[in-house]
Amino acid sequence: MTAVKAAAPARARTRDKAVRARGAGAVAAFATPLAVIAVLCLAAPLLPVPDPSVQVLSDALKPPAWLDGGDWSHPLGTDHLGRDVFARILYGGMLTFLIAIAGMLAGAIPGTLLGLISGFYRGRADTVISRFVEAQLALPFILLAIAIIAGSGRSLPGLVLVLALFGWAQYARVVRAETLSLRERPFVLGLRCAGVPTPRILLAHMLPNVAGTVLVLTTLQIGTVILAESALSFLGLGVVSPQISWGAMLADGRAHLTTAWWVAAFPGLAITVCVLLVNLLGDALRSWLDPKKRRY
Amino acid sequence: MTQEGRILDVDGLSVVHRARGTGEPFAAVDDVSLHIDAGEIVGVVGESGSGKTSLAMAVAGLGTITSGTITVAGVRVGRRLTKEERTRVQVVLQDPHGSLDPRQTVRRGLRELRRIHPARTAWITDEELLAKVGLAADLLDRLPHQISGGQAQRVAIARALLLRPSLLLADEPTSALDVSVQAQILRLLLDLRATENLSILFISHDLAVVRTICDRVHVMLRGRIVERGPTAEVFDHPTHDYTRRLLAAIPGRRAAATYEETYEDAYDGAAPGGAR
Amino acid sequence: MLRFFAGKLLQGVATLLIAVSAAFFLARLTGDPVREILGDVASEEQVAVLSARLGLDRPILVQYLSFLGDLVTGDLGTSLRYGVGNLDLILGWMPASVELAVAAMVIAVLVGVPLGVWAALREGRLADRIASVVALTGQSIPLFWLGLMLILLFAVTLGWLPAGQAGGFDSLILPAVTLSTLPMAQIARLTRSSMSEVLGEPFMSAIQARGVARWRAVGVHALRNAALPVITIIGLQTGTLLSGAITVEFVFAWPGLGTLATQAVQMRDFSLIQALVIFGAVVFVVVNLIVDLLYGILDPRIRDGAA
Repeated sequence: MTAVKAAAPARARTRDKAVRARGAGAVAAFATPLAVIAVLCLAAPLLPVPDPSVQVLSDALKPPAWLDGGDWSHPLGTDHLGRDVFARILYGGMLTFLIAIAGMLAGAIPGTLLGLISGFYRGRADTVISRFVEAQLALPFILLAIAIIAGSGRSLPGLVLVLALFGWAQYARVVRAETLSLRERPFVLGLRCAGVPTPRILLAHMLPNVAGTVLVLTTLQIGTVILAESALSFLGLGVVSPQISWGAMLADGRAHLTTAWWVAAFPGLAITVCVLLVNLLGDALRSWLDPKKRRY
Repeated sequence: MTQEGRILDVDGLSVVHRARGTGEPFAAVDDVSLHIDAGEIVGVVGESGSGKTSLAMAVAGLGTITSGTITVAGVRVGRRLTKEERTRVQVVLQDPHGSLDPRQTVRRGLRELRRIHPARTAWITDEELLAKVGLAADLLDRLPHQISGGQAQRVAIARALLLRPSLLLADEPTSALDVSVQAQILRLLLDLRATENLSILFISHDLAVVRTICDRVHVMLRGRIVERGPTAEVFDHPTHDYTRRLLAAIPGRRAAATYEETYEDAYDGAAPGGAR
Repeated sequence: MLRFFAGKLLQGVATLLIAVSAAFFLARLTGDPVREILGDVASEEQVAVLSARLGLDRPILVQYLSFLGDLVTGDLGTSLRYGVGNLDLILGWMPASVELAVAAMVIAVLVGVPLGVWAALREGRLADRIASVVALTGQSIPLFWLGLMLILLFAVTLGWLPAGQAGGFDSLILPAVTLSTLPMAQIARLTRSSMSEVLGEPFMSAIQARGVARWRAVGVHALRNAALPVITIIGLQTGTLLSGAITVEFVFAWPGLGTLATQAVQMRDFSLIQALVIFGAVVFVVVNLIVDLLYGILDPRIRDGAA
């Protein structure tokens, strides 16, 4: 029998490539500024900015450089203790990003695993896990965070734990839904028929196929985690002095809102811009990985 | 892969499901018995809802068995089987591309099977295996979306073959393919039966296809087998009303119905697949 | 129909049970609440006395059972700071929060739905993209910061609106607008996408082919079909509203449950905090139950288990 060679339809391939290239462009357009900001913040100690913790009370509440009374040694002004706002934004960004990534991972990993298990095995495991997912989603996040932190005190690990609790249920729910439908695909039947052990099916076949969705969710979650951490820090429950995060800076800034608006304005602007970029990136990723999915 | 004797023995099989909306139990498969001996290609024909898929899943060890027994090459089939036991029945399903993990190249897929069953799969190399199903070795490094439907189905058959099953369960293997490609796949199955002494349980709604390659055929209606017998006999002298209706519904029904007769017409005497 | 309702009710109760139990255990097992309340300088005696008083020295299972028992009878405990029943406290501070939440939801729907419809009608064009970025921004802004900036702009700089609780309708505007941002963005996006789906359906062309004016086709038919997802989102938004309300109330000094919660935190009123969490969970579950029931009434397919 003459052998049959592979020849995928050429036109479909080039069209596919064009769509994917456009999608990739959007992803790059949002990922780049975000990466730049993140790198700058994470490299803060290496940058030539003043020490963010040094208090120079004589310099307190100086306005940003472009207003009267400001100068370029403190481009964004100083806070009530004379600390440079710009430097604090960079250092604050470092902690904000690190906590966001840690919190997100701490939620993503158990959430994805539980989603895979409950979607694939179904039955009792699914019922139990789903109940917990719903229960988690029923608890208003900040209240739960308050309850835990009030009970256990402030600490960075505690904060990351709280943020993990905030996120895991979303992963579990989304991954479960995808796994449920993937499970019915013929190739899974084939694998089970061939005796491939279920854990291997989950990790080597289900997981890579849900990876796209998880990636999108992960990106979007970074944004929500940043917002959550800022809210907690703003309320005094998250990051507290001497550590700096954008939320904590906002707490400081509130007291001086009328006299020194810049202390509150810039950290909040930083949060908004970063979360917006993250959301745009997440949407672009979603479109890129599956152009058939709606933008919303 | 020489096999002897009774390969498949289904005895009084019933599969009871619960209906979606109401939860009422209904019998997808109702007291079905059939058997396959070594080297036979046996067909099960029915419309959707006849229970043929439930039957197939049960035989493959992937679906529920409410009562009755299924024995494949001496092994009782159920939901819980060892890896080794599972190799005795392998499946080829309707959706060729859906049967392959979209993220795995053909080679990686085969390698995975080899890792799970190292001894059992040592008998042939990847290249030789692909050659057996009429594919060139350069397909090994392709992803499913880079090969055609017919090729994907051949890969599925290759994957099944690799594990040296006693029984190949083909559930609508050609329904999603073009007529010309259908012919090739059916030819392949016939050839494999000859060279590997493979026994095949062939499930389809398409009578014309069943006629071309099955030695014996069973007609299924609402979970029961209403007619059975050698293919020619059932087609030429149907006894059950339902069978007659099915036969009457075949468009452009021909008198001739062996493989060569059916597809030779479409190909002006040259059997698809080239030399043979 | 009744089976559907009963099923949902049972699910809600199960969810609630797990939620409050989780809150209970998480709060106790991750640290020592008594030390948190008293601070580092507390002596062993003080810790022991307060533990006993709060019942926190009993084995955890005993605490849990007694906790559940109290819940069933509606006893949410007594506030450490105020010395009165937590439930009474909560109910007393609730009206202001309800007022704020309702106002925020109204704004969110009144602005979000038209925005979504407008974007759907201009799908793919510049207006749609702008609307989408605006909506996305709405989901990216930290609410408390937005509140601060609005105060800065409208109260301090322009002097148009009061900055905090000064009574009257005026003072409701800024906090309600702030709180409405997130639900508004969600509602706009969802309305846009479901309207967009409906607009593309064949029956819409059929209606217009029969001569129905476009605005009427859009307004009546399209909207009605798009309403369903919007209702769901109102249910989902309850959770976000509850969380957002805390920081927003804090910023605007609005005398609702949010302020009560932040004060409880500052005063380490562990008992009140726990009561608030339970209350929040109950509210969320109840609202979602109502939304589920509404859904069941409006869409018969869901009732019959097709979902």
